[in-house]
Amino acid sequence: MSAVPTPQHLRTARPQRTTRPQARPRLRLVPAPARHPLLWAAVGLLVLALGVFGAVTASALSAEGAVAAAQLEDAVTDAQATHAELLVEVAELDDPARIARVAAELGLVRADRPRLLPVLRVLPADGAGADRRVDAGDTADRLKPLLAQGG
Amino acid sequence: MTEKRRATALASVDAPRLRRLPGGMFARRSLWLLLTYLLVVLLLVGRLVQVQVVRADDYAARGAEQRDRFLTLPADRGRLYDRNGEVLAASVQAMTIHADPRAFHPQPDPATGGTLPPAEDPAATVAALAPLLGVEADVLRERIDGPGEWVVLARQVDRAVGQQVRELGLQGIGVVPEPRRAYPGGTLASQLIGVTDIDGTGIAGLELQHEESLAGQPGWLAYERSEDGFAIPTGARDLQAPVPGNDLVLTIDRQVQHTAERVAAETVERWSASGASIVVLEVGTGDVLAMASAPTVDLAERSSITPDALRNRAVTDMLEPGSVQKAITAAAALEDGVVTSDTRMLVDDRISVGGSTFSDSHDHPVEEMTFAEVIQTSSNVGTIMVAQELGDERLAHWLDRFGFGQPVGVGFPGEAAGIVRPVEDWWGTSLPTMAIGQGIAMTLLQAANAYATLANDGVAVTPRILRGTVAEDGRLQAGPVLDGERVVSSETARTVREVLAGVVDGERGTGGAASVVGHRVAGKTGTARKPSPDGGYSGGYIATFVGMAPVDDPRVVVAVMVDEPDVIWGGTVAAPAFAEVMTEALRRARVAPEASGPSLRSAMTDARRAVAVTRDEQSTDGSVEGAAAAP
Repeated sequence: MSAVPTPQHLRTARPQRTTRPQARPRLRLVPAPARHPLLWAAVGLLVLALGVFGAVTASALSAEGAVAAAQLEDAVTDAQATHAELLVEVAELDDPARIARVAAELGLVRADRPRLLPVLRVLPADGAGADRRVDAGDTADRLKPLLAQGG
Repeated sequence: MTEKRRATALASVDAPRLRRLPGGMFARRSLWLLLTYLLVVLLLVGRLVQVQVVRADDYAARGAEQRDRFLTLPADRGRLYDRNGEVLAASVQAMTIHADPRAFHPQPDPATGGTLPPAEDPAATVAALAPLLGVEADVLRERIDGPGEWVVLARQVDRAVGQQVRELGLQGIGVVPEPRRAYPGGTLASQLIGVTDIDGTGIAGLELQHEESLAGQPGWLAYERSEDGFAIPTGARDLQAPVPGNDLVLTIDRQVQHTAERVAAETVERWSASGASIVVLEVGTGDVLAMASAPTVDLAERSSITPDALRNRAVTDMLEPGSVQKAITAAAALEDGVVTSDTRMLVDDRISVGGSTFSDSHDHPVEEMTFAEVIQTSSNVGTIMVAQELGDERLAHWLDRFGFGQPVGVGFPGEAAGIVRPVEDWWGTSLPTMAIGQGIAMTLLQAANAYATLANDGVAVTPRILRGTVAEDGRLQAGPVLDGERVVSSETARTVREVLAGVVDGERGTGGAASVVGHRVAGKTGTARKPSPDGGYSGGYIATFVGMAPVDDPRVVVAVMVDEPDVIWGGTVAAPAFAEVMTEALRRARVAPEASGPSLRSAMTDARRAVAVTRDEQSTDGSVEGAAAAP
């Protein structure tokens, strides 16, 4: 719907400006509120302190991490050394010569001519033992658990 | 006016008297001051340029010298395992204690020009260290009283001892870690394993043979340290980790090795011999299950280790095999169809060849023997008769085919090749002497290997001591398995085995003492004169026995050599040792016994019955005693 023009007689004259518009208030520079120079100094010092504190903290944390890493490395080295010592100690303890010596001290004697008893049926223990044995034609898989135990 | 004067007067009294400087004086002074500042700044800048630019490298180098430290990180030496993963040799962390003698002497004081007292009391230091280190106090005192800046007080002591020394906090005493080679078995396989020097470099045995593989690659660590000697945590750090050496898995079975060493030692003691060697081979693979020499050496006692004590006699020493060689002569004759095991021969107790007379070990009339009986009774005459049928060329050929006169190929340091003269250098007595195992030299390993060929149905397999290496995941990385080479036919090998079985279980066999309960054994005794270093033969003998079991499907070959026993016969001296070692080797190989005996059930029944009888007897005795004791 388009606008309908107002009839001429109904039109009212635009009100005439009777008074002069007021002049704009004169702008003037308002002085910024004065801040004490010490405030800037304090802020600067604070920022500086925070920066220094942050840097020192970061350095300290880094140093702490480095120290912890060094301690862990030392602990690993120490554990490896202990492991090697224990490995050798175990090998010394189960050395056949030592076991024979201890057995002799306990009064055991070596059988001159062993007597063999054929087993008429397979015992469960034999089957379990067969899993652990290491034969000449062993593959890598069969030796692995033994080596893993040994180190 | 009066007031005005008064004010003027007061003003003249209270006001400071200001004096105007002469014109330009202030400006000049300011200029001088500025110039002075400028000069100072220029000096500082100049010094800065000198330090930071002109001599920057020099100062940087000095700083680095004071701050940077470079450590060589030794690689962990690889371990040696037996075939079942038991540790035979390993490196452990030890500590070396050192001293700076300057700490125990008065030192000049650069500040005063006087003398500073010693940092530490030497007497107190020695008193504290001597019992810990196990070193004589006088020795320690001599070392710290000496010149120099770094002297070693004790090398490779236990880590705990090093820690104790460190905790003492002694000035001038330092503790540094250093790896030490440990041999937990002590004497176990010592001549085979060999040894490293104190710096961890292999100098004998497998330690020397596999030095490159065991040693690994050292690494390094570069770091910055503070004035007090501690590493700067945030400082620069560069690490090249060392590459550890390979862990080697040997073919040795520790239990069989122990048995072989024990038996060798007992044999030497029992027969007052000067030495003994035992080799145990697995048939088919050529794996050396044991290689023992007596007397042995304890690797943990470095002071007792000498090159002679470390001699692995089974590989480095040559011997004339004696009658053990007859099995090879027999195999050659059978393979070439000169004889069969049943070929009958008239054998005297003496035979003259090349102007020399050879005789059997005992007098006997001419008798008819099969070829098998010739070998089983170890008849020199019968064997020489067959060898003559064989001839020089063919015997030489078979000696070569069985590997005599050339290293077996285990690559062991000092491995001897043996001595077999080229056939063109043979003379009249060469054939008969070599046929019976004299005039030919071999190692015990060679003898065992030749028998292993017969045990393996005529196929020769190169013996091996190294089974493989341990991969990073802990699995065995098996070494290469060499193809075997057929030397004689399987039929010939089986025939020889049957003939040799008669040596042990035959009525006239010379090796009855080599029998093993539950298994049929084939083998041959040997009694050989020892060559003299001056030529000819010495008065000493070598007793040997080489054999295999079980006869039908041999799994193990054992060779025993006893050097200069007071009883010379191989069947008496070496055969029992063979039996004991073979028993253990078969048990370890889980070879079921052939012979039938009482079953486990019947044995257990017998045992229970025996226990019940014993209990009844004890019960009866107890009641009688109890009745007697009652009032």
